[in-house]
Amino acid sequence: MYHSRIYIILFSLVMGVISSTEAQTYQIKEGEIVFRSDAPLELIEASSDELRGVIRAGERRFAFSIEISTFEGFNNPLQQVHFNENYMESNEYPVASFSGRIIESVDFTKEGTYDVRAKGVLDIHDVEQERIIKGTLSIREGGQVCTVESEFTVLLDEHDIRIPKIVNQKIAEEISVRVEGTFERR
Amino acid sequence: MSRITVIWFIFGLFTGHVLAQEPYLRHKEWSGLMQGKTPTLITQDNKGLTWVGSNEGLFYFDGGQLSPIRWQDTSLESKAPHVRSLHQDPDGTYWVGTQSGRIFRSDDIFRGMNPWDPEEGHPKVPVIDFATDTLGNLWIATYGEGLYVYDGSHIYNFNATDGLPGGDVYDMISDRHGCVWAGTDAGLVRCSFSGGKKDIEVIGVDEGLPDEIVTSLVLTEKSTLCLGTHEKGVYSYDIGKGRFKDIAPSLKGDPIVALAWDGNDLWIGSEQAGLHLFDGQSLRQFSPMQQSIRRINDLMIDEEKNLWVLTETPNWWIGNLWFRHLDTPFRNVQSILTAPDGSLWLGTQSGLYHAVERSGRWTFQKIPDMHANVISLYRDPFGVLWIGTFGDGIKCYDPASGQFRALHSEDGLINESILSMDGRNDTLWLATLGGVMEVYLTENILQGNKLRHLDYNHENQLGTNYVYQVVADDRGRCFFATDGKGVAILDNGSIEWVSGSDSVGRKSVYSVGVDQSGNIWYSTHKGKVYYTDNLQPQPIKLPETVYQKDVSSIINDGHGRMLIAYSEGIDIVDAKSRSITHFDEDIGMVEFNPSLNAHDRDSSGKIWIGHERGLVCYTPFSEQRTVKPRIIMPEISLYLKPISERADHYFGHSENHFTFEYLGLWYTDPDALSYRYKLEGYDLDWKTTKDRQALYSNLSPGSYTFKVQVTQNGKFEDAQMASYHFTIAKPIWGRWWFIAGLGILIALIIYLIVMVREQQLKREENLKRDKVASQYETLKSQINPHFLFNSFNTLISVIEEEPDIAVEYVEKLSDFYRSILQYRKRDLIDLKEELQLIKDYRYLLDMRYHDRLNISLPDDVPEGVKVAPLTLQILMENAIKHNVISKLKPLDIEVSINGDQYITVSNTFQKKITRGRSTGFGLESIVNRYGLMTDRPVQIKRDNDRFTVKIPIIKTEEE
Repeated sequence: MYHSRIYIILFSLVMGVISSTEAQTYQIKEGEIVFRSDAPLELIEASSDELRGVIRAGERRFAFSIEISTFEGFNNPLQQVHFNENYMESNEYPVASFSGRIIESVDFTKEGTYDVRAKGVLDIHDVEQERIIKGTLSIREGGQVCTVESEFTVLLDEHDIRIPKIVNQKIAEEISVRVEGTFERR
Repeated sequence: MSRITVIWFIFGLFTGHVLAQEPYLRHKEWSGLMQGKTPTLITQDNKGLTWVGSNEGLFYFDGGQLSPIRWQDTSLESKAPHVRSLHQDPDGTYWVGTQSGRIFRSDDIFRGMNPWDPEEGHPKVPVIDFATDTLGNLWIATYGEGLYVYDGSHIYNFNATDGLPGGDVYDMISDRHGCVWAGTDAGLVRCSFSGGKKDIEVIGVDEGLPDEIVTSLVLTEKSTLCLGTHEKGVYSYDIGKGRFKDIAPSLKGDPIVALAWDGNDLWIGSEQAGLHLFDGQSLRQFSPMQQSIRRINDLMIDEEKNLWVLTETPNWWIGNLWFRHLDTPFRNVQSILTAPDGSLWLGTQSGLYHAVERSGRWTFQKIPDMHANVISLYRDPFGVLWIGTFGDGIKCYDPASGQFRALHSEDGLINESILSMDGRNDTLWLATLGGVMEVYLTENILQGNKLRHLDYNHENQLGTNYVYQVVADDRGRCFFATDGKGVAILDNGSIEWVSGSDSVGRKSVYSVGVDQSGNIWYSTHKGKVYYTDNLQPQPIKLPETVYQKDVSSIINDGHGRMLIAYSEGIDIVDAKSRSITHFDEDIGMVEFNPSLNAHDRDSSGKIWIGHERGLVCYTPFSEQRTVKPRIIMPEISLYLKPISERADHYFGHSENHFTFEYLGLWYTDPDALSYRYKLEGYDLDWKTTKDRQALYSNLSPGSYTFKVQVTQNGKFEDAQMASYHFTIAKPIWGRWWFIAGLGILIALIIYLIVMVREQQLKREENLKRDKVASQYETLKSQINPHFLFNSFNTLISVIEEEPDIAVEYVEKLSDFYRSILQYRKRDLIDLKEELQLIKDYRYLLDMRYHDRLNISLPDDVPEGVKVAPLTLQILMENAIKHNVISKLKPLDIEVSINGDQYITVSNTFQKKITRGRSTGFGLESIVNRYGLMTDRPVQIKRDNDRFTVKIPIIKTEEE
């Protein structure tokens, strides 16, 4: 719970700072994150619509976070318990986050769809990995609304998530993650 | 000095000519493929193949022409991408970066380049360079997004957020310590990436960098980096000391585009002033063939030491750096002496010249009062020049003081024609037409003392007066090239001879040289070259080097190679492996004709060779390896279609038409290449050719290895080789398992036939036995006394009352018995015959049982229906034997034919209780006999009131 609190404080701080300094700030309205583990023996898909995020258009900076325990839709309740307690250890590491900067320059006032790459730090299971993640940014309603879509993979090994040998046929080494969020300008 | 001498001296000074010493650069025009395109880069891959990138595609150059590379990308439509960078990593994978930021890769570039789509996406700005560091990371430099590094699984970015001073990278190189260096528009950056950790060190203006914009980089020596800047020229950077040194002050303001390091010199390409050369001392502009090269796009130096210059205009230049040319304003340099200050003394027929270089320009001054034919030169330990002439003795001259002294016969010279001079320490040997003089130089000759000398000539142990060359080595020995006696070795005052056969050829030696192992190399007339080898008692003739004209010099280059200068060019021979590299007119040695033994090595190791039109300067690159043409096999085709990657190299028996394309790489002189190839498993001997492909068709199954070698000197023994091993499978009927399987199958069939035959025999035997048994049984039953007794009783009852009937009865009885005897031996009889027998039998039974027995027989019998003899009779007899026959319960027996399948014998079932149990043999015998004759079984059915036996009908053809 200690970590959890720190994350929440940190996140609020980042968002607070971002929202107070820059008018061109986009706050997430609704967001969904889906992960999919396609192992030889079992397909696991779980999602959460508790995605939080903020994009600061001027500096092309962004921050996303998700509370691990909000993932739902597992094949059975026990699986969810395992996911939270054994693999992700969500009591200790409650939040996964990705924050950094968009590499391409995007004109947030111009409507359109942009293929962008986000360079940042992906923090899952308290292991930070620098990543470049490809996504699509759509600006609509004259820059009032923007949507973000992205798909990427997470290697369990890279984030120190250990899967017991007994179940490794049921959980893929490479988890594919899909993120969708709609942001509103504040 | 007289006044005239002074005038001559001044005049001589001012008649000096100014010329530059240059590599011979050949100019090449682009082929039609490059028309309208702008070249962007030139580079070589790991195999030594040259690649040229353009704003529209990528091409490889085979020495003669350019060939384009295919792009496996539908989004490109018809236009090839704008190539900005090409790299081959140590694993052999090619990487191409484009102007749009797309990256292509290929493991087999001749099949084409494939788009690389990493999860992280590709840069959106030009990809200007790649590098692989010593840790195996692939670095990607972009113009706008900084650096990327790919560790095999992810791509990471280095940009402003990581401390990179600018996102625009101009050049990138990797060093030997796991780092890459990048030139950006805000300084020089050293980056490394290890274990997920980024490390960046910025060397900017604050650290002493003269210009923020670093446009090009090259690693020269171990810890020295040379960097070209946008405005401040070129600097060398000592990585250890962190110190910059300005090496091209004259290029300030001219953006540097490319740098290339040949191992000795730095080549500099700039936007406006073209090509420059920095040799460690001075910078000079370079303009090949008097044509100015202006805008340079790229520079490259290949492993053959060819310099490639890519210019904006649609042409390029290539030149070999082993030899540079210095033309002289006078002809026939007969002797050369290099001075410690880098200047040259040149002896000609018309006198002595002094050549001095300043900023790459040479001026030639004629030494006045020296009108002799100068053919040899030497500088003694006092700095005095010994100038050997033909027929006019020796002139001794001190360039520092201008003091002269002439030596003639009266001063002790044994002959006034001095062909060659060499010495060590205070001993000087003079090769004259009167023998060799060993002169002791303990005091300055200009002091006027007499020569102290010892002579070797016809009169004493040398035995000849004609010596063409003397060569002193570091061990105190001196070698004499004599006319008529071979090579003499003077060692500690005694003369030994290089052993050899008595052939005259070996005895007239024009030039002699000693390699680093102490082996002696010498040339004789008619262009033959021999060398001694410590392991061999006799000198060995260097094969393949019978020169058209005489060899003029044999020189040790100090790096394990011997130079052989002859009228058409110069051969570089590896002293150990004896492999030869030819250099001739393709590097500018046209009308070469070098003078006899006119050569000298300067303090930097360069060797100057005098020839008809001037001088050639040889740069001994320190590479250990002898450079040889390389060979690659771009394409192997099967039925004229390129074989896609087939790792197993295994082909079906009909895949037997192969075309092998190979390509030798020798950019110094592509036309000199010749090939030999052989298909092991097919060809017995090598085929020598100039073609670049070999075709084989209709190869029979087997294992083959195609081998091809390339040479530029006609010698294949130590030439590079490429090979391709493959197997053509035997057809299915030729493979061992098929033959074995077939054998087993045949054995199995034979076995089955034998088995079937055996079973048939057994069955026939059984049939026979059953038949015999049945015959016996029938016979037994018919001769059954009971039947006879009954028959006779019946006969008695009719014999008196109806004698006619009795007679008929006896006739029927005898017919019946005759039929039984007649049929019992046969396998099958007609149903008609059987029925006839049954009719007789019925008659006999009718007489006995009258209306207590009712037998009905079929009226119509189809033709060809057969039965086993007495079958119906036995069944009928069984019915009578086992059933009650009385007035109340008459027995009804019915024989009928059901279609063409069965004959049915059916009787009312009213079992008689008998004491003796039936053997059941009659019925069993029928079943057995039919079981052997037909697949259809005899069916026996018994229900409450009827007992039915169905006998399968046997048609004639079933027999």
